[in-house]
Amino acid sequence: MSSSKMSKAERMRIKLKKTLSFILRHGFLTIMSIVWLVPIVWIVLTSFSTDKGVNIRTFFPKGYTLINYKNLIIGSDTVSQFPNWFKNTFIVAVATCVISTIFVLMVAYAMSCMRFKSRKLLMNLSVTINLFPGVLAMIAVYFVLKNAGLTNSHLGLVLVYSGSAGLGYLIAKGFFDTVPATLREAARIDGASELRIFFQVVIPMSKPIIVYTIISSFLVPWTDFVYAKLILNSGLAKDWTVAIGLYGMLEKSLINDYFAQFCAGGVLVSIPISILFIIMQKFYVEGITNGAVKG
Amino acid sequence: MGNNNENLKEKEKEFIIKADKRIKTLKARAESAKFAIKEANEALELAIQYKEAGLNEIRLFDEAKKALESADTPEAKLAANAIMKEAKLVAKDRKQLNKKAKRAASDAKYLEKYDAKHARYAERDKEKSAKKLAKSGKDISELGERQVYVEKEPNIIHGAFRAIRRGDWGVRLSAVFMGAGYLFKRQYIKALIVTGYQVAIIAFIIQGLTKHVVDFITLGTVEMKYVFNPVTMKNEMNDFDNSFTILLMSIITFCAIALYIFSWFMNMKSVYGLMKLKLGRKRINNFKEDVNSYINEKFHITLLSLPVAGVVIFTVVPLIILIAVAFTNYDQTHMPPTNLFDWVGFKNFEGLKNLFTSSTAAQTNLVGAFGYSFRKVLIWTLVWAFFATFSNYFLGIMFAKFLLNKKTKCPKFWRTIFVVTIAVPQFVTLLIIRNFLADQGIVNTIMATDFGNIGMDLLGKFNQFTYDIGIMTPENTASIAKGIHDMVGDSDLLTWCANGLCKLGENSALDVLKKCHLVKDYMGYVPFLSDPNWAKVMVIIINIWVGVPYQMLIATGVLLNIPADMTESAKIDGANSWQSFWRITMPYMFAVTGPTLITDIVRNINNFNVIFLLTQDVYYETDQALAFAKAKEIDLLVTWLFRLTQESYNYKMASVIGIIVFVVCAAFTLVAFRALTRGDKESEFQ
Repeated sequence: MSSSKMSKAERMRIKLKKTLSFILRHGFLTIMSIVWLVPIVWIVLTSFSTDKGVNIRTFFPKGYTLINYKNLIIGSDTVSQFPNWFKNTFIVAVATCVISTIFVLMVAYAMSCMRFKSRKLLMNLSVTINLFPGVLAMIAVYFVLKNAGLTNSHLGLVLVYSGSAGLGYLIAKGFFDTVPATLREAARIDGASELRIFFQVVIPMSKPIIVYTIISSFLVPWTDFVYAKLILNSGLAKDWTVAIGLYGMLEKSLINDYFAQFCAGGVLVSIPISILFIIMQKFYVEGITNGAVKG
Repeated sequence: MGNNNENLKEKEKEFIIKADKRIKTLKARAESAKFAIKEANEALELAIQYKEAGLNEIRLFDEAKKALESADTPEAKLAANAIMKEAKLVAKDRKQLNKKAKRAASDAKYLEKYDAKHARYAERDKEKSAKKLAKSGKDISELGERQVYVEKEPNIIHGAFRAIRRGDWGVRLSAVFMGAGYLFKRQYIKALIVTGYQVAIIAFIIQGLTKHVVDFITLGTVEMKYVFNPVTMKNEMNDFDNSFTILLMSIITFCAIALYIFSWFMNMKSVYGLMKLKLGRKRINNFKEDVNSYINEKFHITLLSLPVAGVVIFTVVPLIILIAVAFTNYDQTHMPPTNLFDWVGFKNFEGLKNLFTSSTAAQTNLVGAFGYSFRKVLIWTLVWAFFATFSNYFLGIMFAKFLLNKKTKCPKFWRTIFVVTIAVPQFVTLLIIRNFLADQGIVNTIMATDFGNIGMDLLGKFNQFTYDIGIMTPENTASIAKGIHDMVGDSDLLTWCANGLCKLGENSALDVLKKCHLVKDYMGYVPFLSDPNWAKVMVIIINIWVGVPYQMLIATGVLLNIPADMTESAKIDGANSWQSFWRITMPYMFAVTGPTLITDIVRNINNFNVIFLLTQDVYYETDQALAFAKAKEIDLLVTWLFRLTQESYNYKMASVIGIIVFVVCAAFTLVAFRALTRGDKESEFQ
């Protein structure tokens, strides 16, 4: 709305205002970013620290070294067995993600694309069951597993993570809802059974949401700590997952020797998780926007 | 030769007598048939065809025999064999025709009988519907044409009993032997499978009943101890009862009984449906087609069976068990296998009656302590859930809007920075922050350092930095200082400022907080996570750190999808950005994310990670009454529950708390959803 008849002073004033607003705006963002990044930066810095325990004197470590990473990966002792933990968590994660994805997709397809009598009832029931605190069910599941002899086994952990996976069908269902019904009708007219429609029509179209489901169920065992601690309670460090192991390093008696290693472990775990998370977000957004376009 | 002829005539006669008898019966049935007329006539037709085919066969066989006997040349023998072969083929066809005819006859008889029966039922149903309609003032002609055997679908229980009343003998026998109905309708494989299932589940139930449920009321009477066995002359463990196994297996048996009852009802419906198919002259599937239906119309059953089984085994059954434990006295002094526990009814819930016990009374009375703790912990849980959810929600929207604003440059860069914090696992970041803010931790060290020292430290680092990169040397710094001094001289204002700065420099952030009475005077550190009130505030703030990036992402997604025409038309109408935000954007946000908000509040009521990881091992409980019940003031109901099981093995109280959490969440969800849907209608009205 600036006319060419504006005086130079006015133009300078507007430019000043704009610059000020620019500085304030991005200054605020910078401060916020610093606030958000400070703990992360601290983890990374401390993982390179020469001091094994918690650094309480200064923010920046006194010296920098790679020895923490080395100790973590190669030098395993009774407390720190990162390679074992990584291997355990990886196996559990793969098994979990396979079973969970299958369950989620099955339930989402049934709820979204098929109409049957008990559909509403099942949907309401799943919402009701979700209202129970997860911790509560977990304690009881521990007892069930104990009676079945499955505590202290990775199989038990996998079953716990993926057994109830069917309850998390909402996002996939939302996606399947956007698959046009006409497509499925056409396939049915052509003589395909529902099974074939499921595998040959709907699934190939749902790649983004499948990747999203796979990754999000893969990430569960890496970040979960409560369930794993409850079930893998043999006390043998080599059976633990990464979450339990790292948490154990911060016990009062061990923290002064292992804090730097904890940070190193945290960094090592965060890198693949971050990458997977970013990929997952991209597929999720792609799935949602594509769905919107399909209408 | 004559003998053979006589034999032939006899055979023919016998056969004709039998066949005629059959035809006569069928003819009589066909003439008196009222409902299954077509089928009766078909059966008659088939019987007549059979008679012809049978006579044909007898003659052919006779011919063949004669030919064989009188065959002397090889060609004649060949010809005779050919006739014999033909005769055998005809025999085969005839046998099949016999089967078909018999089946048609029995079907016709069946259809006639049951069509008649169902016609009577249909009449009765019609009368009942007419009466019902007459009550509400309508006419029966509005029901339209109804076939004989299609009645209104009763619910599953009523349907099962109707099946017994109106069904044929196969259906009625299925009330005892689940596979009978399929057997009678010639679905043999299905009958076998269903019977196998029934036998297995009944065997399991009987085993459960005899082994575990017998002890269910008492939950075991034989405690574990060593008994002297005179045979082996040693102390051996007796055959003790394990209360928990009894409870667990009894509940599983009850679930199996429930499953059996459910399958029984479903089976009756299925068997009766099969009968109705037959009465409807529709095709009854053979096994292959039946299996096919499970990948077609009944595909949802195939899809849902495994996941539902998973949910039942890993969520529903454990929850039932835990709810049962709430009514026992399963705690540290009653731990199987060494000890037994018993039913105590509602004794564990008495704490709820004592919600308003005073703090002093609660320190000695355990029930009172629990009541007191229920109240305090529940209130904090609700307060926390409210603040945690809404702070994240609104700040997430603010940040999202801020970054979407055109004046912000490189929004993607800023967004990525914030999102990085989500990618690091929560337990890592929360534990780091816990150590960050520990009583002797790094933040407290900084807080306790005098501002002056910090300033000098920073200044020293700045000097070193500029020196290192070559901008300034100590001589340069000195000359700049001298220049400033020369410029300003010795003014009183400067002395006053310098004195003030010195005073300021002697204080630290800790001192400031003490002066504001936020930290007690004798403390040498800021009790970020160890003092109840500080911890409550810090936990909410840290939760903002954890949750806002995620909320920001979601809000960005939703804001991008707002139909632009709404905001544009608002701008044209002259609304400024603040008004357009509150009147247009926020209602839209609420409508889209409303349900998510409710689930988020529920999720925060159960948000175990944040509270547990931040306060475990660092928080000190000062309230004696709470400590008596093993609760902490910072606890949510779920963390209290968890610690009750892990540290004091008090499973009974943990279960009680779990039930309370469920009741709270359920009540809240119901109320909130109702309010939400009511609100929606109003906005649609506008």
